[in-house]
Amino acid sequence: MIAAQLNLLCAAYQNVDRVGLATADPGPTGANDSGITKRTLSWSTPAAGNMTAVATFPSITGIFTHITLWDGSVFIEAIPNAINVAGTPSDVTVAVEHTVDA
Amino acid sequence: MPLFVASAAKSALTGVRHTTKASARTSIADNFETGLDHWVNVHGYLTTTNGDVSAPISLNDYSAGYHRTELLSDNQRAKVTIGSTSTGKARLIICADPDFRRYYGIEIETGIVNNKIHIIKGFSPIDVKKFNTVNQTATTGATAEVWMDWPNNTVRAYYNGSQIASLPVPAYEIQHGAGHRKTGVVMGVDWILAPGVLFESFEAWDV
Repeated sequence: MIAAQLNLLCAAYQNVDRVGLATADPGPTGANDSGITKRTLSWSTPAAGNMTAVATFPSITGIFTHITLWDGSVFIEAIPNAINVAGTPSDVTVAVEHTVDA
Repeated sequence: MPLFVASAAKSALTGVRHTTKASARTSIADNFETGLDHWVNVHGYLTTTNGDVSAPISLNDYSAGYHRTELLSDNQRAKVTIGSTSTGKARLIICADPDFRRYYGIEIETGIVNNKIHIIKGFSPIDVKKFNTVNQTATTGATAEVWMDWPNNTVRAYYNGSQIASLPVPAYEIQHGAGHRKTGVVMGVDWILAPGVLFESFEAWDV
Protein backbone atom coordinates (compact mmCIF):
# COMPACT_ATOMS: atom_id res chain seq x y z
CA MET A 1 0.00 0.00 0.00
CA ILE A 2 1.36 3.40 -0.86
CA ALA A 3 2.47 5.74 1.93
CA ALA A 4 -0.21 8.29 1.17
CA GLN A 5 -2.92 5.75 1.89
CA LEU A 6 -1.17 4.57 5.06
CA ASN A 7 -0.99 8.18 6.20
CA LEU A 8 -4.68 8.67 5.47
CA LEU A 9 -5.58 5.63 7.54
CA CYS A 10 -3.22 6.73 10.30
CA ALA A 11 -4.78 10.19 10.42
CA ALA A 12 -8.16 8.60 11.03
CA TYR A 13 -6.94 7.89 14.57
CA GLN A 14 -6.58 11.60 15.28
CA ASN A 15 -10.07 11.61 16.73
CA VAL A 16 -8.23 10.30 19.79
CA ASP A 17 -7.50 13.64 21.33
CA ARG A 18 -7.05 13.09 25.06
CA VAL A 19 -4.93 10.90 27.32
CA GLY A 20 -5.68 9.88 30.87
CA LEU A 21 -4.39 7.64 33.66
CA ALA A 22 -6.23 4.75 35.27
CA THR A 23 -5.59 3.17 38.65
CA ALA A 24 -6.73 -0.31 37.56
CA ASP A 25 -7.79 -2.08 34.39
CA PRO A 26 -10.22 0.28 32.59
CA GLY A 27 -11.93 -2.64 30.88
CA PRO A 28 -14.01 -1.80 27.80
CA THR A 29 -15.59 1.31 29.33
CA GLY A 30 -12.71 3.41 30.65
CA ALA A 31 -13.44 2.57 34.28
CA ASN A 32 -11.04 3.22 37.16
CA ASP A 33 -10.11 6.65 35.90
CA SER A 34 -7.65 8.37 38.22
CA GLY A 35 -9.59 11.61 38.24
CA ILE A 36 -6.49 13.48 37.14
CA THR A 37 -7.37 15.94 34.41
CA LYS A 38 -6.91 14.35 31.02
CA ARG A 39 -4.39 16.04 28.77
CA THR A 40 -4.84 17.03 25.15
CA LEU A 41 -3.00 15.11 22.46
CA SER A 42 -1.67 17.01 19.46
CA TRP A 43 -0.62 14.55 16.80
CA SER A 44 2.26 14.99 14.42
CA THR A 45 1.54 14.84 10.70
CA PRO A 46 1.50 11.18 9.67
CA ALA A 47 4.59 10.04 7.79
CA ALA A 48 5.15 6.52 6.49
CA GLY A 49 2.03 5.52 8.36
CA ASN A 50 3.30 6.74 11.73
CA MET A 51 2.40 9.65 13.97
CA THR A 52 3.14 10.61 17.57
CA ALA A 53 1.75 12.82 20.28
CA VAL A 54 3.16 13.87 23.64
CA ALA A 55 1.36 15.15 26.71
CA THR A 56 2.53 16.02 30.21
CA PHE A 57 0.68 15.55 33.47
CA PRO A 58 2.17 18.27 35.65
CA SER A 59 3.11 17.59 39.23
CA ILE A 60 1.13 14.45 39.99
CA THR A 61 1.42 11.68 42.55
CA GLY A 62 -0.09 8.22 42.63
CA ILE A 63 0.16 4.70 41.32
CA PHE A 64 -1.35 4.02 37.92
CA THR A 65 -1.67 0.86 35.87
CA HIS A 66 -2.89 2.03 32.47
CA ILE A 67 -2.65 4.92 30.06
CA THR A 68 -6.10 5.60 28.61
CA LEU A 69 -6.96 7.17 25.27
CA TRP A 70 -10.15 9.11 24.64
CA ASP A 71 -12.12 10.80 21.87
CA GLY A 72 -13.46 13.67 23.92
CA SER A 73 -15.39 11.90 26.66
CA VAL A 74 -15.61 8.60 24.75
CA PHE A 75 -13.21 5.90 25.87
CA ILE A 76 -11.27 4.37 22.98
CA GLU A 77 -8.61 2.08 24.42
CA ALA A 78 -6.12 1.53 27.22
CA ILE A 79 -2.48 0.55 27.23
CA PRO A 80 -0.98 -1.16 30.31
CA ASN A 81 1.87 0.89 31.74
CA ALA A 82 2.90 0.79 35.40
CA ILE A 83 3.49 4.31 36.67
CA ASN A 84 4.54 4.79 40.29
CA VAL A 85 4.91 8.39 41.38
CA ALA A 86 4.54 7.85 45.08
CA GLY A 87 6.95 10.42 46.38
CA THR A 88 7.20 14.11 45.69
CA PRO A 89 4.82 15.31 42.97
CA SER A 90 6.48 14.86 39.62
CA ASP A 91 5.73 15.64 36.01
CA VAL A 92 4.84 12.56 33.99
CA THR A 93 5.21 12.83 30.24
CA VAL A 94 3.35 10.33 28.09
CA ALA A 95 4.33 9.66 24.48
CA VAL A 96 1.75 7.96 22.26
CA GLU A 97 2.62 6.47 18.89
CA HIS A 98 0.15 5.19 16.31
CA THR A 99 1.30 3.16 13.32
CA VAL A 100 -0.50 1.73 10.33
CA ASP A 101 1.18 -0.82 8.13
CA ALA A 102 0.05 -3.20 5.45
CA MET B 1 -29.12 -21.65 -24.03
CA PRO B 2 -26.62 -19.46 -22.10
CA LEU B 3 -23.49 -21.12 -20.87
CA PHE B 4 -22.40 -20.27 -17.31
CA VAL B 5 -18.75 -20.71 -16.55
CA ALA B 6 -17.49 -20.59 -12.95
CA SER B 7 -15.02 -17.80 -12.31
CA ALA B 8 -11.47 -18.93 -12.04
CA ALA B 9 -9.98 -15.53 -11.26
CA LYS B 10 -7.79 -15.21 -8.18
CA SER B 11 -8.45 -12.53 -5.55
CA ALA B 12 -6.41 -10.95 -2.80
CA LEU B 13 -7.19 -9.26 0.48
CA THR B 14 -5.54 -6.13 1.75
CA GLY B 15 -4.38 -6.51 5.32
CA VAL B 16 -4.00 -3.32 7.32
CA ARG B 17 -2.73 -3.28 10.88
CA HIS B 18 -3.12 -0.42 13.35
CA THR B 19 -0.80 -0.36 16.35
CA THR B 20 -0.89 2.07 19.25
CA LYS B 21 1.93 2.27 21.79
CA ALA B 22 2.39 4.51 24.79
CA SER B 23 5.37 5.15 27.02
CA ALA B 24 5.89 7.42 29.99
CA ARG B 25 8.77 9.34 31.52
CA THR B 26 9.15 11.11 34.82
CA SER B 27 11.74 12.77 37.02
CA ILE B 28 12.69 13.05 40.67
CA ALA B 29 14.20 16.04 42.42
CA ASP B 30 14.88 16.03 46.15
CA ASN B 31 17.05 18.40 48.16
CA PHE B 32 16.09 16.74 51.45
CA GLU B 33 14.63 19.99 52.82
CA THR B 34 11.55 18.14 54.01
CA GLY B 35 13.52 15.23 55.38
CA LEU B 36 13.35 11.75 53.91
CA ASP B 37 9.61 11.10 53.82
CA HIS B 38 9.88 10.04 50.21
CA TRP B 39 12.60 7.46 50.77
CA VAL B 40 12.41 3.77 51.57
CA ASN B 41 15.21 2.23 53.62
CA VAL B 42 16.75 -1.00 52.37
CA HIS B 43 19.44 -1.28 55.07
CA GLY B 44 19.84 0.77 58.23
CA TYR B 45 18.09 4.08 57.90
CA LEU B 46 18.98 7.17 55.97
CA THR B 47 18.95 10.46 57.80
CA THR B 48 20.01 14.02 57.14
CA THR B 49 23.02 15.79 58.59
CA ASN B 50 23.02 19.56 58.12
CA GLY B 51 20.68 19.10 55.15
CA ASP B 52 22.71 16.35 53.48
CA VAL B 53 21.55 12.76 53.20
CA SER B 54 23.68 10.54 55.38
CA ALA B 55 23.89 7.35 57.36
CA PRO B 56 23.33 8.05 61.07
CA ILE B 57 26.56 8.71 62.96
CA SER B 58 25.35 6.70 65.92
CA LEU B 59 25.09 3.51 63.87
CA ASN B 60 28.66 3.54 62.57
CA ASP B 61 27.24 1.46 59.74
CA TYR B 62 26.10 2.04 56.20
CA SER B 63 22.54 2.91 55.23
CA ALA B 64 20.87 2.26 51.89
CA GLY B 65 17.58 3.39 50.47
CA TYR B 66 15.68 4.35 47.34
CA HIS B 67 13.30 7.11 46.38
CA ARG B 68 9.65 6.10 46.44
CA THR B 69 9.04 7.38 42.93
CA GLU B 70 10.15 4.70 40.52
CA LEU B 71 11.40 5.81 37.14
CA LEU B 72 9.36 4.66 34.15
CA SER B 73 11.98 3.45 31.72
CA ASP B 74 15.25 1.53 31.71
CA ASN B 75 17.06 4.43 30.07
CA GLN B 76 17.59 6.26 33.32
CA ARG B 77 20.03 8.70 34.82
CA ALA B 78 20.65 9.95 38.36
CA LYS B 79 22.65 12.88 39.68
CA VAL B 80 23.77 14.03 43.11
CA THR B 81 25.28 17.27 44.29
CA ILE B 82 28.03 16.62 46.77
CA GLY B 83 27.63 18.22 50.17
CA SER B 84 30.12 17.79 52.99
CA THR B 85 33.16 15.62 52.35
CA SER B 86 35.19 13.33 54.58
CA THR B 87 37.10 10.10 54.25
CA GLY B 88 34.92 7.24 53.13
CA LYS B 89 32.63 6.05 50.34
CA ALA B 90 29.12 6.78 49.14
CA ARG B 91 27.19 5.32 46.23
CA LEU B 92 24.57 6.45 43.75
CA ILE B 93 22.33 3.64 42.49
CA ILE B 94 20.15 3.15 39.40
CA CYS B 95 18.21 0.25 37.84
CA ALA B 96 17.73 -1.35 41.25
CA ASP B 97 15.20 -3.81 42.56
CA PRO B 98 13.55 -3.02 45.91
CA ASP B 99 16.05 -5.16 47.82
CA PHE B 100 19.13 -3.79 46.04
CA ARG B 101 20.07 -7.29 44.92
CA ARG B 102 21.09 -6.17 41.44
CA TYR B 103 21.80 -2.66 40.20
CA TYR B 104 24.31 -0.36 38.55
CA GLY B 105 25.79 2.80 39.98
CA ILE B 106 28.88 4.74 40.91
CA GLU B 107 30.92 4.87 44.08
CA ILE B 108 32.54 8.09 45.19
CA GLU B 109 35.60 7.33 47.29
CA THR B 110 37.41 10.01 49.25
CA GLY B 111 40.48 9.74 51.43
CA ILE B 112 43.99 10.88 52.13
CA VAL B 113 45.35 8.74 49.32
CA ASN B 114 42.39 7.38 47.38
CA ASN B 115 40.12 9.88 45.69
CA LYS B 116 38.30 7.96 43.02
CA ILE B 117 35.04 7.31 41.26
CA HIS B 118 34.17 3.74 40.31
CA ILE B 119 31.42 2.33 38.16
CA ILE B 120 29.82 -0.43 40.18
CA LYS B 121 27.65 -3.49 39.70
CA GLY B 122 25.71 -4.30 42.84
CA PHE B 123 24.87 -7.72 44.27
CA SER B 124 23.43 -6.67 47.62
CA PRO B 125 22.94 -3.35 49.41
CA ILE B 126 26.67 -3.44 50.26
CA ASP B 127 28.37 -5.96 47.94
CA VAL B 128 29.60 -4.54 44.64
CA LYS B 129 32.17 -5.12 41.96
CA LYS B 130 34.04 -2.05 40.79
CA PHE B 131 35.00 -1.22 37.22
CA ASN B 132 36.81 1.45 35.23
CA THR B 133 38.03 3.42 38.21
CA VAL B 134 39.20 6.97 37.61
CA ASN B 135 41.09 9.30 39.90
CA GLN B 136 38.74 12.11 40.84
CA THR B 137 38.69 14.22 43.99
CA ALA B 138 35.12 14.99 45.00
CA THR B 139 34.53 18.50 46.25
CA THR B 140 31.57 20.20 47.85
CA GLY B 141 29.17 21.58 45.26
CA ALA B 142 30.32 19.29 42.47
CA THR B 143 27.89 16.92 40.74
CA ALA B 144 28.27 13.23 40.05
CA GLU B 145 25.99 11.28 37.70
CA VAL B 146 25.39 7.80 36.46
CA TRP B 147 23.44 6.94 33.32
CA MET B 148 22.25 3.56 32.12
CA ASP B 149 22.52 4.38 28.44
CA TRP B 150 19.93 1.83 27.45
CA PRO B 151 20.15 2.12 23.66
CA ASN B 152 23.90 1.46 23.84
CA ASN B 153 23.95 -0.97 26.80
CA THR B 154 26.52 1.19 28.55
CA VAL B 155 26.81 2.53 32.09
CA ARG B 156 28.30 6.01 32.02
CA ALA B 157 29.77 8.05 34.90
CA TYR B 158 29.96 11.83 34.96
CA TYR B 159 31.62 14.39 37.18
CA ASN B 160 30.53 18.00 36.88
CA GLY B 161 28.70 17.11 33.69
CA SER B 162 31.63 15.55 31.86
CA GLN B 163 31.83 11.84 31.19
CA ILE B 164 34.76 10.32 33.07
CA ALA B 165 34.15 6.60 32.56
CA SER B 166 31.92 4.17 30.72
CA LEU B 167 31.29 0.45 30.94
CA PRO B 168 29.54 -1.62 28.27
CA VAL B 169 27.26 -4.16 29.93
CA PRO B 170 25.50 -7.20 28.47
CA ALA B 171 21.88 -6.61 27.60
CA TYR B 172 19.70 -7.88 30.43
CA GLU B 173 22.72 -8.69 32.59
CA ILE B 174 20.45 -7.56 35.39
CA GLN B 175 16.70 -7.65 35.31
CA HIS B 176 15.04 -4.51 33.99
CA GLY B 177 11.46 -3.37 33.66
CA ALA B 178 8.88 -2.19 36.16
CA GLY B 179 9.95 -3.03 39.70
CA HIS B 180 13.60 -2.83 38.75
CA ARG B 181 13.83 0.89 38.14
CA LYS B 182 14.56 2.15 41.66
CA THR B 183 17.10 4.87 42.14
CA GLY B 184 18.78 5.56 45.45
CA VAL B 185 21.88 5.92 47.53
CA VAL B 186 24.13 3.96 49.86
CA MET B 187 25.77 6.18 52.46
CA GLY B 188 28.54 5.48 54.95
CA VAL B 189 30.04 2.58 53.02
CA ASP B 190 33.04 1.05 54.84
CA TRP B 191 32.50 3.53 57.68
CA ILE B 192 35.64 3.60 59.82
CA LEU B 193 36.37 7.12 60.98
CA ALA B 194 34.00 9.13 58.84
CA PRO B 195 31.02 8.54 56.56
CA GLY B 196 32.56 9.77 53.31
CA VAL B 197 30.89 12.31 51.06
CA LEU B 198 27.30 13.28 51.77
CA PHE B 199 24.79 14.37 49.13
CA GLU B 200 22.97 17.69 49.40
CA SER B 201 20.56 16.95 46.55
CA PHE B 202 19.39 14.03 44.44
CA GLU B 203 17.86 13.97 40.97
CA ALA B 204 16.85 11.14 38.66
CA TRP B 205 15.01 11.06 35.39
CA ASP B 206 14.04 9.00 32.39
CA VAL B 207 16.28 10.02 29.52
